[in-house]
Amino acid sequence: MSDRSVIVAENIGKQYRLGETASYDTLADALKRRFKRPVAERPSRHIWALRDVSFEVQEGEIVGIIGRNGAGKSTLLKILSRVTAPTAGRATIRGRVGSLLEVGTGFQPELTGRENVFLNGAILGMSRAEISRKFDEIVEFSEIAEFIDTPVKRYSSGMHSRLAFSVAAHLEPEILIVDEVLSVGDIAFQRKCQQKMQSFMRSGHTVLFVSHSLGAIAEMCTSAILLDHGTILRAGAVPHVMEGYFALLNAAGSSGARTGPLVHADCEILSAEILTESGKPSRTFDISDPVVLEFRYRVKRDLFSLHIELTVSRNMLELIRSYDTDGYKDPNRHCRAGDYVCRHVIPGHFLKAGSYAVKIGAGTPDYSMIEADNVLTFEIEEISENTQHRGYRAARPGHVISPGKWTTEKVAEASGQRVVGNAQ
Amino acid sequence: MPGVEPGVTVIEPARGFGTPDWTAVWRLRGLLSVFLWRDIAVRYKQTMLGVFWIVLQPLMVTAIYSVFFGYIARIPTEGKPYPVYVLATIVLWQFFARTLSEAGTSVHAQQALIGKVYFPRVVLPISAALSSAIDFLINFAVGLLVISAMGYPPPLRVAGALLFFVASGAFAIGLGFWLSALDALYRDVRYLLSFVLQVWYFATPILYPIAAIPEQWRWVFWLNPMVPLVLGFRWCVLEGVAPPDSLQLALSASVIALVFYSGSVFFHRIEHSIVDRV
Repeated sequence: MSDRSVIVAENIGKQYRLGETASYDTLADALKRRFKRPVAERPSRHIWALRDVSFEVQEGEIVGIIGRNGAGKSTLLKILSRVTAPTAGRATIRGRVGSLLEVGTGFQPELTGRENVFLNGAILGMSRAEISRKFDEIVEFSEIAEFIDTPVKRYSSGMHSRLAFSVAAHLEPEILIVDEVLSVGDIAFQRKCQQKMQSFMRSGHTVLFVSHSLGAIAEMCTSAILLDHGTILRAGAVPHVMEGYFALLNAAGSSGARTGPLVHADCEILSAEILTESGKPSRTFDISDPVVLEFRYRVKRDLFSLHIELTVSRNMLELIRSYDTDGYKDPNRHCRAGDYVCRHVIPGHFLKAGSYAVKIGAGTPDYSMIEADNVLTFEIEEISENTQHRGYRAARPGHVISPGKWTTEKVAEASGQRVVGNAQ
Repeated sequence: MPGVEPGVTVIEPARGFGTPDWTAVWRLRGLLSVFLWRDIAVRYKQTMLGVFWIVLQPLMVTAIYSVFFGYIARIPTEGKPYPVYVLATIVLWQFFARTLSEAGTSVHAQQALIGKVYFPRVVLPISAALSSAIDFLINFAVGLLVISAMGYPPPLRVAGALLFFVASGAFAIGLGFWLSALDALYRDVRYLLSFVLQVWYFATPILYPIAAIPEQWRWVFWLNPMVPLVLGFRWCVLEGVAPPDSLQLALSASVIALVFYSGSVFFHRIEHSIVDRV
């Protein structure tokens, strides 16, 4: 264990007996099962929800855990937050752990908001004095101060989760374990929660979280772990782990489920290519190179209307959605029978370093003929990048490099003089 | 855990047998008191008469039995009026029965909670027991007032009644430890439990004196650890009733200690994985 490791997991395994959670409903059932066949003959009905999971988390790291449903993400969080014991292995945790596996755990509908703040806070591990001290802050954050003495059963679900999240947000552990809780309330409140999380993370706390929002993981995490069938497939830098996840998703859907048919009765995509500015096929681009997406398609009979649609995404987050009709007066220029080739050029210094996926579609404004995910993928790398241009670096928040330019002028001399725009 | 520096948590599979960390219960008295307060608050929110309902229960039961067993069946009661005789012990039994069923079902009742947050599970049966202990104290005080008003003030040894109260509490929690594990697994445990409690109730000399039982059946009462507790409790509350047999009392105390100890070991063994079973 290195000096700054706050979580060390060694070969953690968790075995469940199949059907165990469903339990035998009555004693009679259990007895019947036990006596029906000798014990030795009963087939083994155990599954490993987690197996040989080992990793270390350093102090101040923000680790995202990703994986498909049933990969063992929640089981891992449950073990680390001591809700359930592992069947094998061991985890050593240094520091006070706060875990949020659910927002509003133990909320009691009959009690008022005020009473539930105390109840929920105590359940999450806060002392009464601590809750009293933070009470006003919690209520203010929740924005439901006027209903704080109303029983929670009369709350809307939005109010309920606002209050619950506010309590959770004021828990100040050294290590926070979070399962998918950022999606509460309306957009404005979500943003507030995210900001709260980020300031918590920036203040040097360690966070371990599961989220299905890969955008959130890409934005916030310093490293990630990919789980599949209870084992770690990849761990380390976020882009590296994300790639592994996409590969997994693609492999799972490779029998055509992922890529929709490229053929329709009226129209067919013949080819899709990624080219450099000079027309050479390529999959890897420098951050300053334009990326040319080229499609050939055939219109099989004269149509009234047709557009080609293009979506570029990184980490499942759509960055660009564009139509070949964008910017043209006549949206139906290319709908007569025949073969066409169309190109879309993404300028350099726009996409940040990372892996991109391209989705293509064809259709009319009210009818989609073709829709195919991930027909193309490409990489942007920081080859020409040097330390003087750190502004482009992938780790910075924000999804693309701003196409805008900065200009700054001096509008007044320094020392006591007021800026012109503010003068009376 | 010995050999571990402070602030470090080691998470490992449950191995071997040990008793629960009772110091943890003390450290978690904050959470315990919140659970307790929640139980009481939820129970009496939206009931206009609040605490009145706690008190009503033993009084109503006493009134009903007085009519049927005292007035109609004329069961002998060591020279005391039937209501006084019954009221003197029924509060103890009601405490025992409630603690046992609440503690025994506490883990299953809180399954949503234990699936999402960690705290020593032993807090659940303990807080259930404490909540019924509060009811008992109210009922006991009211019961004493009522029998005093009826002309039977308790003797000085009434303080000793609390010993029998603590012993029945320990017995109920010990059994509750065993039951909560079984209840988490099998739904029919709770139905069986209410049936068993009914039979047990009538097999304990609460509504009648032990002298009313024919000599050849007395041995049955030796199997029931609640008998000396009820007799002792009554002896503390009322002047001029038979004291419990000291041998039987010692036997009962040993059984209770054994049940409590084994229950807590068993509960500790399963508490880390009980969430996978409820």
